Amino acid sequence: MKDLIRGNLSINIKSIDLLNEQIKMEFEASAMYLAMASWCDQQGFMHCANFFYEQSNHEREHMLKIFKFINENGGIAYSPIVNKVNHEFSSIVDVFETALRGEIKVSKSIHSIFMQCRKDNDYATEVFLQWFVTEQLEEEQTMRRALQIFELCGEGNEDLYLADKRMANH
Amino acid sequence: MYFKLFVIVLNSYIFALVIEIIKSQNNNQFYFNFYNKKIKMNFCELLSFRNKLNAIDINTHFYSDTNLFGIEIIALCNLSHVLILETDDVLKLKRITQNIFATQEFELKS
Repeated sequence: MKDLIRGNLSINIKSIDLLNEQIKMEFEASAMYLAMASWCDQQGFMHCANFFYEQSNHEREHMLKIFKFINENGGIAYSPIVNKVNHEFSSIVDVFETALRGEIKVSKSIHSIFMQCRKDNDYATEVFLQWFVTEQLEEEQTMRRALQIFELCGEGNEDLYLADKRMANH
Repeated sequence: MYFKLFVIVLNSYIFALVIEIIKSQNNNQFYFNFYNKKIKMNFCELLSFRNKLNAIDINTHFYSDTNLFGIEIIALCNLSHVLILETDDVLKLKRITQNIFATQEFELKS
């Protein structure tokens, strides 16, 4: 029995289950950024909206990377369901604070899968996840810097306009 | 709820041999015997079956009003078979599929 399973699966079955959960998380992150883009568009933060549209695409690409990895290694990847997405934010600072919290949550999840792979001696998945560990450092840094831009600027309309313009280069 | 548990334990003794999943000796196929209904599965179909069983929250059979009768309906092998499972069937099958894939984890750790 075990030869047939090993012959069909290149990675640990537990890793596959955890990666399917991670797919859901990345997809939810993508949906969250789309909601933020929509809010920014409505409030007149044009460059922030573009930033979040791009972030939404990035998260979807992360999700697809994991999706293909599972299928290519003998597992079954599942297209995720997205729960209710929050579209209400009190301010642009609230938006970036929520985004940063979201990225930290994703980082923690990646790290816990990494730890489980190490415990299970699933070297292939561990190597695959190394890219995500590095990528999450960049994502957190991006959100932290963006949050700092808006925390440092004033609350006047002109200050917010200039801070939004800075996001074009972010 | 306690009566339901008693029935499950009793059925486990009576029907211990009528649910099994065995690997074919001649090819890379599994044969699923479900109360004398025999279903041939390849590895992918077995994996899909395992995932569907794992997705069942057994607590809803005992502690919730959403599944008062403890019945699950599962489609297998690209909709070529449909299984109607009671609570004890679900429990047995979860254990069987867990044991099948546990051998892989043992191999990787040893």
